[in-house]
Amino acid sequence: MKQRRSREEVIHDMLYAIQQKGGKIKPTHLLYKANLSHDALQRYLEDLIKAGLVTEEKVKGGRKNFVLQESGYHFLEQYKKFKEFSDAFGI
Amino acid sequence: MQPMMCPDWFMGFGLAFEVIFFLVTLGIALTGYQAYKFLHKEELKFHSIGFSLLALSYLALIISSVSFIAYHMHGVVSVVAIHAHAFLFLAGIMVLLFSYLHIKDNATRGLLLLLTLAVIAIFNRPTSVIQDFTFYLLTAAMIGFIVFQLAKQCACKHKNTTTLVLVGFALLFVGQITLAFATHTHTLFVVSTIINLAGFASIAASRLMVK
Repeated sequence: MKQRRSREEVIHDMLYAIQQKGGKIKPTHLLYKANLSHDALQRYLEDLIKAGLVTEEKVKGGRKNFVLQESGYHFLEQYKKFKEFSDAFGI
Repeated sequence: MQPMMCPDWFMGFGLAFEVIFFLVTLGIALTGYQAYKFLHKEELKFHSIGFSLLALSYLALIISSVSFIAYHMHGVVSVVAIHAHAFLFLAGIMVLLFSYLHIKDNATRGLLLLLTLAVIAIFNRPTSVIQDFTFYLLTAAMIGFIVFQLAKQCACKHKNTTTLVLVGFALLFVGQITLAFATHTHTLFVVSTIINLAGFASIAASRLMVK
């Protein structure tokens, strides 16, 4: 059975999903790509916006996108580096 | 312990290698700590503590070697430093094992640490050949277990960095086994130190590959 994702893994999956979409993503796409429930997505997005990793961008028709910020890209780089380190030592 | 086995012509090289071992283990410990702060994985915390203890053990060995070279004899400083090296090295390897064995319970960790150090204390008679032999064989067995865990990871992940770490620890395992038989053989001591150097070089290379 697959282990439950840690908080950092979920944040990574969300930011990675946005990065893969060119730095900008619709909420529904993020929900599916990050494999989260609606409530969980809302909770994490609040934290990501508060931390400055992501911002909300309003578009035409009352819709919105989530945009990856510089600090979000930095988080992804750091995550990749430390994950590789952890994997290298079999941890 | 070790200065007795080291030939005179190798003293300088041995000291240089000990400095390298100290720097490599310290570098891994610091990166492990940074990784722990970022990823919040408990295994990384013990990994960092383990390598920190190994770094301190090599620092103790450097102090012992410098003292021996300076005074051409085993003074109090040298003897205390050697025993500190043994204690810290064993503790470091045991703490590393906590992360690989996924031991979550503090009581179990404490008991394992106590038992391991008790084994060394029991065989800790100054003139006993078996003292060195037991220490190196015990640490080799523990490193061997880490090698086994890493081999399993390597089989699953197929990453160059994991392979380098596996090779590194495998060389350290061979190095410790060789040291166990190097009590009165200068050649084996030199060979084991070079093997350990290759091991730490491999581990350092894996760290450098992680960008």
